[in-house]
Amino acid sequence: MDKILSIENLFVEYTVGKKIIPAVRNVSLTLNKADSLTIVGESGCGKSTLGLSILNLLPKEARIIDGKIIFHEQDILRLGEKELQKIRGGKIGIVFQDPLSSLNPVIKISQQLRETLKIHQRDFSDDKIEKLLETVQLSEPKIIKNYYPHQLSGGMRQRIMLAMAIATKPEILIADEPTTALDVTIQKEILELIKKLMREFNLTVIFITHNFGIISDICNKIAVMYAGEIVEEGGTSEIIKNPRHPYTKALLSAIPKTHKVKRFNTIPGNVPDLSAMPDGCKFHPRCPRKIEKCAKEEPQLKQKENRLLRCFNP
Amino acid sequence: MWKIYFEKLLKNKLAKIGILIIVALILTAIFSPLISTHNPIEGNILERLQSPSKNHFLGTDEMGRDVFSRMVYGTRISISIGIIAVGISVIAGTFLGLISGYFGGKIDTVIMRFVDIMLCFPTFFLILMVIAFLEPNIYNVMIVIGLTSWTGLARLVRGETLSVKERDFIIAAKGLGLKKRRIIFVHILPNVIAPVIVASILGVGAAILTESGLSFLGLGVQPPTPSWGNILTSGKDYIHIAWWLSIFPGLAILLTVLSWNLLGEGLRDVFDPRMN
Repeated sequence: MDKILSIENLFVEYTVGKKIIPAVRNVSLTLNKADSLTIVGESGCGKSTLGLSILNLLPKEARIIDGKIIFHEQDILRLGEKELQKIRGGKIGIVFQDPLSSLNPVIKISQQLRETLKIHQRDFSDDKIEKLLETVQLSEPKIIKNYYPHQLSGGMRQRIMLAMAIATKPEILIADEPTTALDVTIQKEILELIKKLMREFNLTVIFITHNFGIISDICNKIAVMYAGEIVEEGGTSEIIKNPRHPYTKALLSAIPKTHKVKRFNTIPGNVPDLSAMPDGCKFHPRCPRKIEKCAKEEPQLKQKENRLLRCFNP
Repeated sequence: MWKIYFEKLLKNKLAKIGILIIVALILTAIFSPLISTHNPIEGNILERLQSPSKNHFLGTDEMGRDVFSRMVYGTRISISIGIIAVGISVIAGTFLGLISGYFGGKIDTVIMRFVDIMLCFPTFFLILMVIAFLEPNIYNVMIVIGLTSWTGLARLVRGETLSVKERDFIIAAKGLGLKKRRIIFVHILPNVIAPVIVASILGVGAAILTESGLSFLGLGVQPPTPSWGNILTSGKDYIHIAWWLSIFPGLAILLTVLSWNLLGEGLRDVFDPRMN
């Protein structure tokens, strides 16, 4: 298989005032052509930071301490601004969580699409723009292209975002919680659309979400993140059918089931304060299976059968 | 979108009055040769200091020139100085404000400290000082007024830029590979333009007032070129015997500044989402 993107030992820190907060710690991932990887985790586990660092789009409070992000044998983190701009939106597209605020409110849809196409020296004729809008299944592209973002619904705006992200036929699409801000029926439609685009454009997709429910039929790989680290990584079906890490188990059991009327399962406690991490395994204070060793020693990510696992007592 | 704003603006009675006066002034400025009844520069010395009459609507001045015609030509000077001076200050202020707000850091510090220094000087005296060194003519007046009034705008634009640049669509635009220049001018500029429009319209009134003040002090537009300010100056010596020489230019300045302010405030209400 063709290796297309690999993240190697990535460390990212945020500086808030004088506090230094590690957000991503020692994350390594590999993506092959046409893979679709989901990064799952609770809020604040560093999954969005990871997504943004792939395009070096981190806010200025964040700093990449160490690591490499290799895209076609180039380290993205060591590229200059010019080369980065070619990759951003050209080779790697990105869709954000909130389509309501990701479009410029004072610029027409057609103009925003045209900007992207123009930058990457593609055909930016009206025909091309209408065709793009059709690709993301917006009816009446001739009318919609002259609208301002506030005249469209959330789902339609997310489609526009997708159109912008795939406008230049990228190789990788990063979708940072693309359905979180949408209601459930629209979520389904957007996911179907992403699936369709994956097939059509032979896209490699990185999906960032906290919702296990939506990913099982879209991705072939899952990486579960907790407190800035990957705790379990492997094939989608293996992990969903047979989760080994206590955190993955807890996450999966927290998905509400419609046929049983009882309280939701929850994970006791909160994600640890990133600036005051517990010693040993980061999950041990909340873990139902903790043993003595967990509080003292940090487990390493190790190959166990068909997956990578970070646990002493799976 | 602009159509909606315009309709909303016309619903505001005061703004409507402002627009009417401004349109009338601009038409007067464009067609001054057609509207004026006499030559504004040359008068008949035998007809000096006549009070308003059928032949001289607003009377004549101490040189026997027709005040009405002089004021019509003066409109041209005042309006063009107001608009061009504001044009200069809008371009400078918006550009420096955008750069300062977007890049931050050292660039921001340098520009904003410079603005602070500029604001330490009373603007009018700063202008007086510069004009004292330069030749006082209409072009220098425009440039000097423009270059001393951009500071407030720069601060305004900087503040707006600071908030706009943190919004998601700017990160999204970066994610799509847009260059800094395009992000600043295509994505940020349209989002900060509304307060700039309001401030610049209000600024036109202020610039006209400044010009009149300078001309009154003899440092602005030089006679015999007519300007409301210098008609006023020559009028002050005769105020006891020829009231029309001071009253009419004074009224014209008052009305003009008032109308730009009415329009400016009308626009501010239109652009303010809380007013809807």
